[in-house]
Amino acid sequence: MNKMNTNGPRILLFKKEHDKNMAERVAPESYTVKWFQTESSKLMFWDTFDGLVKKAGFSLYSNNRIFTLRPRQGEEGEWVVSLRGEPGRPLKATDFPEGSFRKKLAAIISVRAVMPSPEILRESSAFSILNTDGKTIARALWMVIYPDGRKNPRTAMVLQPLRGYAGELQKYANRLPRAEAHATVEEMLKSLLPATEAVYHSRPRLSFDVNAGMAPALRHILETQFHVMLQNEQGVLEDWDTEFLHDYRVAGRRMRSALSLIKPILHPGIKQELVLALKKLGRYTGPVRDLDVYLLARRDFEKMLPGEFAGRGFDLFFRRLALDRKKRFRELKAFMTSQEYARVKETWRDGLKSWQKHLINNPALEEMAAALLKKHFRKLIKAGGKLSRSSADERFHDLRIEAKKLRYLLEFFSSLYREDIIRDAIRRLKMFQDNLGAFNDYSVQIDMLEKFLGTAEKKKDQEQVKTLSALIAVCHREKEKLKKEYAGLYKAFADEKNQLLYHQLFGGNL
Amino acid sequence: MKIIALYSMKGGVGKTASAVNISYLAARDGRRSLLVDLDPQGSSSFYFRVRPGGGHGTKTLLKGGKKISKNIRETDFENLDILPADISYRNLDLILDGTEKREKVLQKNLSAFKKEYDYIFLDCPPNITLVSENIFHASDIILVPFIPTTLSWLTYDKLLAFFREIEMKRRKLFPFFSMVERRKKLHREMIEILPAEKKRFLKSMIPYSSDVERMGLERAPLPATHPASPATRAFEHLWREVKEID
Ligand SMILES: Nc1ncnc2c1ncn2[C@@H]1O[C@H](COP(=O)(O)OP(=O)(O)OP(=O)(O)O)[C@@H](O)[C@H]1O
Ligand SMILES: [Mg+2]
Repeated sequence: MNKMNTNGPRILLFKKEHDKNMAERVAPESYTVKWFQTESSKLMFWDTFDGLVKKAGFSLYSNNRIFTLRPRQGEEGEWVVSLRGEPGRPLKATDFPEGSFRKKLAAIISVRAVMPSPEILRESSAFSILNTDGKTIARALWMVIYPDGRKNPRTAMVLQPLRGYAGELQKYANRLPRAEAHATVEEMLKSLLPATEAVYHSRPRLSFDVNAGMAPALRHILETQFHVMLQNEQGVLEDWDTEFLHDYRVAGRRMRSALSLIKPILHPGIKQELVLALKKLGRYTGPVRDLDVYLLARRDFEKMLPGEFAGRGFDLFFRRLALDRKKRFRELKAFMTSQEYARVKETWRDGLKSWQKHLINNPALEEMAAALLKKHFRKLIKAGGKLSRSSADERFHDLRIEAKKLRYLLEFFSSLYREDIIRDAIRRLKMFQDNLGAFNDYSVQIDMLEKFLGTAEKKKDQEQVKTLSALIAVCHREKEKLKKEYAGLYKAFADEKNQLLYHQLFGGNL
Repeated sequence: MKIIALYSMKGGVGKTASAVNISYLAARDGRRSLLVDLDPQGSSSFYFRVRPGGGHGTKTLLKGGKKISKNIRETDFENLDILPADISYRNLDLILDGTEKREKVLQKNLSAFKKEYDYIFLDCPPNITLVSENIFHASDIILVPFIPTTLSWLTYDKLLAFFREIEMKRRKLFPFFSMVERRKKLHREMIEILPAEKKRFLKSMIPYSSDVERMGLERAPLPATHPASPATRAFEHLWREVKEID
């Protein structure tokens, strides 16, 4: 039953496909249905890689070149703008004409880019429902929606009772076939889009042939991550969004880790070659990413700084960072379009193709995976237990790297274990890692800020000096906070339950 | 918000026809309009295919605000709502009689809709009662359809006398000729004499027209179904004149 409890529109997405006559068939006797014109439109939804628009409680969609930004149902406001040119590519706030739409969008996605969903085709026919007296009791829309080209149409109905007739319309609504109710038409349309996860996974779940040994498994890991890198390549080059570079880099790091952790499998010669190729790449991607992290954190810094420091000096500093980023990005782009980069990729392609040739060993998969996981867990527990609030920063960095190794191994081999248990193990590790990761971020930032401070002092730019010193102080403060929290997090990670979990998973004594 | 009543002590003079058509024209101008059907017969509700209230809302108009709002219905025409007649209005006089400030209840209750509507039109029953007194108090403009006959003249004079008696401003009253038949000598003569006698006559005149009669069959405002009818033009003229009154 479709319940009508408010006077707002009812938006119903039918479970099954129906033909237009259904709207008339279900009407109580002596009611009539009057049809009006049919219109068709094409819609696309836009969001960043990681759904910032959605997370902010908004929805952004385009109908031809008209873009609409709208808050969740029940909230005020709507921003509309029309864009010249083809909207078929990722867009940043700055791609839109200046005005309130752009301002609003920038507040949500800052420097990031929104990307289009597949196109949804919608045909809507307006109709009215008239009661026994020939009085209109509701205006309605019959919609046929093609979320995916011309295949698999869905049918939906929007019912808007006229004031004073919600009760009478209920009689009609009660007779409609099974449907899901949605709060807004946009939300309904969005629910029909294919899940984006299906298209792209930064961490694809791997499945192995357990009996084929570790060598093909390692190849599979590397191949998959190499593919993730390539999937992000264009996004990096076009600078669509910072997330492309992020995922691109992480894939590269996973490849390096896999090569160095899972050994001995490959001949050291080829291994060295593959690692060096990735290192070369890292020299160009690293600086851009570091600056991205900074630029993205601008608002957080603004919040942490006392007002007097977040003024012109702060602004200037960020403008400089943005300029610096531009320069570094140009270098990265130049590299990625060079012969050298083509050779990096070639090295990898060849290495994977001639895999068999370079093998020196092929241990049993499950045994080796368990042994690796056990070893790195034990190492992490041991090293972690030695740290305290007063330990040097370097110790924390080393531990972070240790934790990351374990994390990658858990992810690589997750398909060998029970899904719920491995997920729990990852979740526990992640909580511990977050503390170490944040600690590292502040350290990196302090280094960078100190470099900037040096230049500012030389230039006698008092305002910059003031801002930078304040930022450094804030970073130190936050870092100390994290150190203080460390002991509790370590205890939680190293507790008996977790030890038991690893024991259960990977066997043997810990 | 302006409240405009269609009122006459005489029955069958075109109050309802005018209320339905000019409220529709106001809405067509984009003004948010509410037609209040005060006649228990419910003729204007009928023209909009809206059933009268079943009498549960005995005191709808007396309770005001929310209670009225709950009974308002959207017509099939944009910007035009209607508060349908209620059978219980037959007893309205009795109920009003017992209330405080009894001649100003309607005025008070309609004032709750100041923000919601630009115009409220009142289609009134033909008599002089406490309900009429309420109508006179509530209205900014009282339109009086006037069939050009001597009898109408007499009734109109009675109305003026009543206004004097209750110390109501006669300036609110705007008579206009209704159901005019040019071929009738009496009508022609009355139209010539009366406006000179009573200076407040509006210039618009609604002709006698079979199109208006047929409204009962078609159950819709005339301009919506017969945009080119001479009667439609007359109602349009009337509405243009009324909206200029301040
Ligand atoms: N201009 C007109 N030409 C022809 N017929 C008309 C005209 N105006 C009204 N009528 C008809 O005259 C009758 C009475 O009209 P209407 O209901 O508008 O008058 P009323 O003053 O509201 O009557 P009541 O006092 O009964 O409420 C109706 O049948 C209507 O169709
Ligand atoms: Mg009437």
